[in-house]
Amino acid sequence: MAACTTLAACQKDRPKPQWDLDVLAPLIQTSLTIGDLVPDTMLATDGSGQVSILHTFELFSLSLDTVLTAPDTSFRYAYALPFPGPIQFQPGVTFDASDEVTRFDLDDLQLSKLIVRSGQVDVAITNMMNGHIIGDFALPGAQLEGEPFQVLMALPPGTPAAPSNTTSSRPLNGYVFDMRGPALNQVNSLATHLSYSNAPNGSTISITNMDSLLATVSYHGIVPEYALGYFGMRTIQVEPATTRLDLFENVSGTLDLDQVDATVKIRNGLGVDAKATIHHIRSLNTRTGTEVPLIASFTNNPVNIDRAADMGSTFSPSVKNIALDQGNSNIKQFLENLPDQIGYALDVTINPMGNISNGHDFLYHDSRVTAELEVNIPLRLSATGLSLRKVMEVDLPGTADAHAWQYGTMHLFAQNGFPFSAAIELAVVAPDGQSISVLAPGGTIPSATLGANGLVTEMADGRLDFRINSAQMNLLHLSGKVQVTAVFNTAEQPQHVQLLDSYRMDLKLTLDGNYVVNGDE
Amino acid sequence: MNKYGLPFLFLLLPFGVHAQEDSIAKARPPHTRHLALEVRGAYDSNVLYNDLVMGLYNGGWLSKEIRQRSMDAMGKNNRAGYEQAAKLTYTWGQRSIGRRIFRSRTSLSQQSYLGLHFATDAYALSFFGNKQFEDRSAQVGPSAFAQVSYQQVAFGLEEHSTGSYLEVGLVNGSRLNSGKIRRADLYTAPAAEYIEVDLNGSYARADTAAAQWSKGIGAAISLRWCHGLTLFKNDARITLGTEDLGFVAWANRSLSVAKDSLIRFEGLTADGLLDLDGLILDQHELQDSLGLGYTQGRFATLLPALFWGEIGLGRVRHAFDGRVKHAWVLMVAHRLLPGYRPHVSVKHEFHLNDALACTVGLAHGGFGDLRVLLGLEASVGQHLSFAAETMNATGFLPGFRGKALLFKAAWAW
Repeated sequence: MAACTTLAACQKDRPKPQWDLDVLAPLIQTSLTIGDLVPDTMLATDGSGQVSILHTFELFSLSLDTVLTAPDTSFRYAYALPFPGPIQFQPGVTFDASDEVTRFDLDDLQLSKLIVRSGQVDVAITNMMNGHIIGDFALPGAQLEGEPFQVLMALPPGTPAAPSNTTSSRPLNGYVFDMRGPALNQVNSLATHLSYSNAPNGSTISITNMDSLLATVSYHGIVPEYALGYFGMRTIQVEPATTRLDLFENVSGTLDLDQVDATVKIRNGLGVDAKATIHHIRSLNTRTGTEVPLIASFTNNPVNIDRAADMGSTFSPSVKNIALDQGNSNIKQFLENLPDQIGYALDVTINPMGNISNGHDFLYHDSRVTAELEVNIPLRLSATGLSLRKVMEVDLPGTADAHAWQYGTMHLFAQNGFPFSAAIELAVVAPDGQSISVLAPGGTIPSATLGANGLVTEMADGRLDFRINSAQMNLLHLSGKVQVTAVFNTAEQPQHVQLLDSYRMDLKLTLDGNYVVNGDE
Repeated sequence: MNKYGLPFLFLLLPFGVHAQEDSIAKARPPHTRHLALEVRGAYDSNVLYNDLVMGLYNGGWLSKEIRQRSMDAMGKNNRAGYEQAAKLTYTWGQRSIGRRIFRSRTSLSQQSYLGLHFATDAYALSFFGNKQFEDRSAQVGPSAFAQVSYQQVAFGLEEHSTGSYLEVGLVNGSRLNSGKIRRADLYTAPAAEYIEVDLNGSYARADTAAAQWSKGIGAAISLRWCHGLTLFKNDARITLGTEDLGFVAWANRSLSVAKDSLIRFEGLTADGLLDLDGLILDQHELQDSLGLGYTQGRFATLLPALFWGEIGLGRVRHAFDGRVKHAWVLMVAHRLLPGYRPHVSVKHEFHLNDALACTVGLAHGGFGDLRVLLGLEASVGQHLSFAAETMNATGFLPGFRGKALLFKAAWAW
């Protein structure tokens, strides 16, 4: 081969020599463990090596915007002489000053304090006076590090026919709004100050009742960081929705679990008492179209949830745990449905007992009401046609038109230490993931031998062959994707079998193929 | 006619023109300056047919028939190799180092060589794959190959009267690729469940990653010693010589590996059968898996030196560049390359006229077996000569092995 390489290396523009070889080559060796079937982060092992799946997934989550939304709001402030005039103002003279209260429409909410996480205020003033005016807009009740919010605007001269327009936008991030108004005895109210003066370096101006100033103040995109007040007694409807569940992703078939324990954890990060009425929680298997509703005490009766505790700059959520097992629910059937989605619908009533906090309901930006299902599934099971499927990207050299491997047979050698058989199917899949050509014949790796105690005593050997013809090889180079499907069965065992963390399947993949030297060129 | 018939026919040709020789052997006028250019290129093998070698060189599809034909010629002693060389030599002056018998000499050369000997199973694996060895071992060893390219500038002295010389040269190594397999038994388990190699061998190469022209520096001497004597009551001449007797010390980025162990390969280890995404098979990964990773560092290798000796018999001709040529020459040469066997040749030169001389002969050894030699030398006046020669005349015919050509041009004034 060295001589061939040398001679080929002499070439510059000539094509490279090609010839075919019948090659037998080991490709890959690996061990398949439970950790390859289920992510290690979900697995727990006890002292005897028995394996359980510990997994937590979210049933639903209600975020801040379901409780509090601050709509974009605009306020207009107009100034004009209340008499015909004319009247003259010297430079530097303030000719109008007004302190008002801006009241925000927040439906049932009665806020006494609001810290803004993000948002901005736009101030637009139209000047119809024939002189340079200084406009001063301030929010005495909104402070950032102790400094009140203030905007000074220089307004160019205008006329009623041709007014000047001046705008200014300022971020409100981090401002603390005292929503109690100037007398500290209101809610949803913000003290506002607006004044106009003749510019100190300008000239004397003369105005009549035809000349006016019009200010528009707009609050945009206010996102609360913190809100305090009474949030009202109201019911929030959570329309039927679904969340995705990846625990059984790509798994199909029939799974019979020996035992399942689960806990529903409802966390309340809001500073309000709540009552949840769960209309349904459903296990949805979209591949088979089957759904199993969860039947338990809390799905029939309202669940009262305590309020979170305000820790000053953060909160401590309240947690309500509801234990589920085969005695008080159908959680086993719920999971054996191999759901890939969880459907839910519920109502949440906040402050069901009214304003018992005396206006001290609160929320933080990260406050949520969430429900999680924490499952503990000991891997003692029986499986019938339990199928695990995965599409792999195969980085093959060459192209669909020119590639070195032409055809052949892949051999899969297996030493199976699991108490179930595994039927393996390989298929070339199209770029969109659809199986387009199955590599025959495939077959089944036999189950390991079990002892009287139901544990594996001896690994079983098996060999599967997968022929790949020229057309399939071309397809494989075109798509670069192979789908592996493993179908597990414990049908030979009369009872549930226990999986141990020591169980594994040793695999070797070899190739008996026709290879064209320089065929990738 | 068997495969040796054609060469013998060529050998008989000179007897037909033998009578012309006496009248044209005469002394040439002396010159003080000589410039000679020699270019030669040859490959040869005792088993690989030209259709295979040319197929490898020209590219394209190599049919199974072509590969099988060479396979059928394989035996216990399979050899192949090539040489490409160009050398410019200049000699000048009436005296050197204070002696009138010497003149100065310098030369500049570029040379590339490849030599290999290989086991039949190594060829079978390379050109047919290892499936034929399923559940049995292929004996890949003993095999060896060496490929080297270098340039040399040399200076020395040459004796006027005999042409004996001594040159000392500075060598630049530009390419090295060599390996020696003392033992390599490759066992392929059924369906390739594993492959096992009982390997004892080594491999070395110059740094191929760097683009620089010089990858090693060395030194070499070349010499020729000629002595006249009487043999069978006739004038004769014995000549002994060596070329490129020296070494190259390859730079510290050169790579080498030596292994004497049993290697078992069951495939690259993957984290999981369902997690092969991105698993890439490349040469370095495979080398590391087999424990055949390179070691980087300096090492030195001998140049493919040529040792030779010849005896000239019969009528003498003095070429105008000072060379003394006998009508019959028996030569034995050996080059330090794997697969190279001592090369024995017998040549006869005869003159067609004053300006043209023809050479015919037979040779055996080197990388090939029995070969026919043919040459033609033309003189243009008293100053110029041109020569073309092939050490393998039948190689240009279909169905033979090897090709060789040599061109010489000499100018004396």
